[in-house]
Amino acid sequence: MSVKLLFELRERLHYTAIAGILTAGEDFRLHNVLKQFQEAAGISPVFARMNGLLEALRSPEGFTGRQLMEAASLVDAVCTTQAAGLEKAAVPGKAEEPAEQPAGNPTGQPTGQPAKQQENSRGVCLRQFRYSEVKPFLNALREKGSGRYSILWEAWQAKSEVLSDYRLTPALIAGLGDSYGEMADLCMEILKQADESIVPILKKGLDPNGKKEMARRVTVIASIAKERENDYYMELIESGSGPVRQAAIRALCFDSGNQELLAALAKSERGEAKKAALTALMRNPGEAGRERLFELLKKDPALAAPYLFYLEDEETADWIGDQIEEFCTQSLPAGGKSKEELAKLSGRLKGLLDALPNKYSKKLFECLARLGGREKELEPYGGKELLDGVNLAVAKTVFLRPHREILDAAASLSDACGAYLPAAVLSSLIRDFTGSYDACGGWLKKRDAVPFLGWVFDKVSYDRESRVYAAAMTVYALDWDGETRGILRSIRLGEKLDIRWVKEIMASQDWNRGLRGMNYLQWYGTGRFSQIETLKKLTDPEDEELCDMLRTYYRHYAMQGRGEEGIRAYLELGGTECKGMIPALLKAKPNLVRYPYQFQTILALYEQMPMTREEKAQEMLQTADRMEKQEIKATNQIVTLLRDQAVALLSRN
Amino acid sequence: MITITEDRIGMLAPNAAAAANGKKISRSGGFVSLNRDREETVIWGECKGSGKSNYKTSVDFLNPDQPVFRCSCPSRQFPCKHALGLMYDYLAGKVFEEAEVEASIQEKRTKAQEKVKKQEEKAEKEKAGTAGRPKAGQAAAAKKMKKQIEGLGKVGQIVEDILAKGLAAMAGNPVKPYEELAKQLGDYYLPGPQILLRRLLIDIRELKQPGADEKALYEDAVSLLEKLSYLSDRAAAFLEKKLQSEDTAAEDTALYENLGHVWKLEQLRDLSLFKENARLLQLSFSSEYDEARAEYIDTGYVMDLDSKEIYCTKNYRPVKALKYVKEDDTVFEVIEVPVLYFYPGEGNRRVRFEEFTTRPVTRQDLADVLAGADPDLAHAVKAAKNMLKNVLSGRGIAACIAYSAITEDTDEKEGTIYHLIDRTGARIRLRDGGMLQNGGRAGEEGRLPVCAMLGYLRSSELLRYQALFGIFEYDAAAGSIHLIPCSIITPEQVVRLAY
Repeated sequence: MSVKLLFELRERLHYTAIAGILTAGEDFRLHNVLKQFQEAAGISPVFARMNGLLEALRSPEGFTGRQLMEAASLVDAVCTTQAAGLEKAAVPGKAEEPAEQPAGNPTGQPTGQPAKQQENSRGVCLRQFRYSEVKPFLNALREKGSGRYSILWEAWQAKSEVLSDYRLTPALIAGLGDSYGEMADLCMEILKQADESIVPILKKGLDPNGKKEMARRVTVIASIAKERENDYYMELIESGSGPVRQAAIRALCFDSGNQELLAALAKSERGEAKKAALTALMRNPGEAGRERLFELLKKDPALAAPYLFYLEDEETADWIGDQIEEFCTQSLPAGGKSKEELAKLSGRLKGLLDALPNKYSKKLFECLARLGGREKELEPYGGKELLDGVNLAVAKTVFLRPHREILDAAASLSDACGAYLPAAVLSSLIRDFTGSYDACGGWLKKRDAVPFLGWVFDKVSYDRESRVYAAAMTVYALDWDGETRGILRSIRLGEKLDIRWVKEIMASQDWNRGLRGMNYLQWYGTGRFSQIETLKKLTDPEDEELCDMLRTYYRHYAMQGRGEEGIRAYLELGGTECKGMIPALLKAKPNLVRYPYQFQTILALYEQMPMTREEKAQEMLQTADRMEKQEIKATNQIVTLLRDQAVALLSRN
Repeated sequence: MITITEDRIGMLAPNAAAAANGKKISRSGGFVSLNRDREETVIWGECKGSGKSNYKTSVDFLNPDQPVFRCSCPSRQFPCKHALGLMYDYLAGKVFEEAEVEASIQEKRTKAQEKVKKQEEKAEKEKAGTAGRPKAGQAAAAKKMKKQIEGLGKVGQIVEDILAKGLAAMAGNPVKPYEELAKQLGDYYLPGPQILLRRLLIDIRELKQPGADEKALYEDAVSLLEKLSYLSDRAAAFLEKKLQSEDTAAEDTALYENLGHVWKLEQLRDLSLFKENARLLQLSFSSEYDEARAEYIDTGYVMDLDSKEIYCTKNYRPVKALKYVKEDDTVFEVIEVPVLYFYPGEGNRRVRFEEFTTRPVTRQDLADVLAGADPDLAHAVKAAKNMLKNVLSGRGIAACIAYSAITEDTDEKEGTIYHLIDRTGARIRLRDGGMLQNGGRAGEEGRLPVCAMLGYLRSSELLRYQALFGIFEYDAAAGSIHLIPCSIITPEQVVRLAY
């Protein structure tokens, strides 16, 4: 059959449909092909049949659309049967059978795993979920617009298994280059959870000279394969540049055989590549690496400090102690130094002190004890603020390494110089939770101690499930991939809190004052500790004495109009004597009744109060009267709102 | 005995959100009481609600294939999240205390049984012909046919008008008059031609856009005109003949189907278009928006494990009523159907069922699928071409092919390309689809790059000596046929490349 003629005819017929039948008369190509078909009519019955339909198109009077379509349909049908695409076997023969038979004999038994999650015989797990489960994530990854990040983030936080569906892989890999950086980073975190079979896929198409997207690929590969792809990282360091090279340098951290190379890179490289090498040395520097880090600490403590975090050995702690001593010897007292010199030395000292968290040795702590006693001399360098920072660094060390030796040493520090209260209090709570108040309760008398104690008790809470008090804190540190991450530490304290601690917190007028020098203490949160929030976290609901005491306190707090948090805390603790609380709050804080939307939040408190509808309505009406008499400042709109609410309450069935 | 699986709950749920809410209720312990009868035919319980009193919910499996849901909550969803939560509780193995069936449930059962009995009696009467087809019904059907014939005449005229001046001229002029005509076709009971005309107008609108793929759009437009012309000519003659012989009953023909007849299950039963006790395994699923229909269409391809035929399930969800229409979804389990109904047509026929249960897939099921895979590509391609050549055929023909390898190559222009090689050594190109499975051109939304997925399977075993479920698609512009890969079937699993 002349396939070429056939397709030519098809083309002309389609052209006629596009250009219009009215132009067909002038289409010489159409006439030619029709003529050729007439001559070829005898080739096959199909051609003969087609030719019959084409007769109408040869008519000098023209033809109708129906006739054109009829002919075109038949031609199209025949063209379909002649469609190319199938390449037959070179040597037709017997059908090939697999050399290995498929695993197992078919039985009526279920395949053993849910259809969603099945391993093939090589143990590669291909998880697949329903369309309705997968589609929202694909949309979030592939489309633009708001809301897509939160879809993925919430699934990630909830540890949704759907994220492991292999069909999301291409979109996640493409997402490493998402224009929204946070989205790209999230894709990276998700891909890090994949198994090693994804590594070849990531390597394929990885451009060694690429930007952040490619660097993220390297980070994912390293996170999964670790030292197994060491040779690949070396290749990238050789051939790559920029972010990819930096990521490859960081990936060398997994193989301890790279220590010499990393130490050399830390010395020879500049900028981000240097930082990458230092990051890789961080956890396991070896001799050469340690030498390099100490060198750097001496030269530029601020730069070196983050990379020393994981070195817990005595030698490092002693070395830092030596540096601090040297500073003290050379720079204290500060008399006669210029402002520029003081600023430079101050930066140097702060850098050294930044290296303190997670460090302990007898020598270091002795050095800190001496430092603590020189507060006045340290004033030109930051003085109290500086020591506050050291204070909290030592407390962090106690949190990270709550060993007996360190606990005792931290407590002794405070005895020695009167400083380092958080560490001392924390140590006391950990060593002897029940007896901790006697050990250090007196420090609460010092006004300056309040912010620090606030810091300590902000970390303590009662766990209702395990029925125990615990201290928890997140310490932020640089991770192997160059990101700063939180390390959560939790320490079990005891079952019963000395109630005197609570009394002290309740009695303190300064509790909400917060810490000074917040910029310096960036690792320690905002520095403001809510009294009520602290007390709520310390509440054991089964401790009747404690609960009674707190209820009385919250009630007093609320009746003084100090804040709605007092009312909420009182209600949460099962308090029942709520009359007068809201009017007291409104009188003390007139700002709350400036706008209706603010006022609605306060009115919503009535819903939780164990008062009858009549009692609530009466109180609302009385309050409205007082507002009208200007005893409580409020706008007319608020007064009307209050009265309406009272009426609505009374008219409810 | 109650059979509940996760897939079954998913299939019964009106949509994924309802299923998720049901799961939430189950996980949070929403049900304060859980009960079942001794024979385990019904479960019921009380669920905490937002109001003062608890909701009373029950799921009655007296007919295991068609559970009945009841709940005192105000939701109009059916089944509601409480009924779904109750089933999730059962699935989770929570303890259901044995108790006497509540009087209210018993009463409703009795009423339902009476209703079924009445319906059966009525069906028997109709079958025996004692009731006869009401004369009023026949007259209405005849009136409708006449209207359809009139409408088909209009369709023919539209085709003539378009072809006289040509599609290019249409693209250069406003399409509003044609939109009006398309709207009017609804008055002539011609939803099929109406949709075809709307598709044509969508192509024309796209042609007006800068950078439009003219070749592909005109190709599609001509194909649509061929269909419209065919229908206006043949369908009109077909209906005329029926009118003359006073036969107004529906027929098992592709022509009837393409006019857009909305089938009732009783009509399909009357035409003997059903099969009992079918076992189906879904091999692929998609949900796509069809602009011409203004509907979302959920399409599932299933293989009948006994006959090895491949059918499709279709669920149409009008945009205006999305909230109220149940969504279909992927089903991983075997669907056991007491009665499976077939729609008229050829190729991968549409099927529908009301009652069903599901059970986990076994190795035997997968062996059955593999046994239904064609090891000879040439044979499968020939069969596909024979279907695709028909003017009223769909855009693709689904098939299952046993292969020896799926290979990856590099093409200068296209980059990475894939081929499937069958057990005889013949090979065919694998491509992503260009058309929607329901007709119309594919947009970017929702389409997974299925061929690219072959590179992400992480195991070369899947690419050797397995079976591929795919759709043969004919690219008229290129004059070639290719295969859209949808899933890989192994003795252990169905690996979906799409959904």
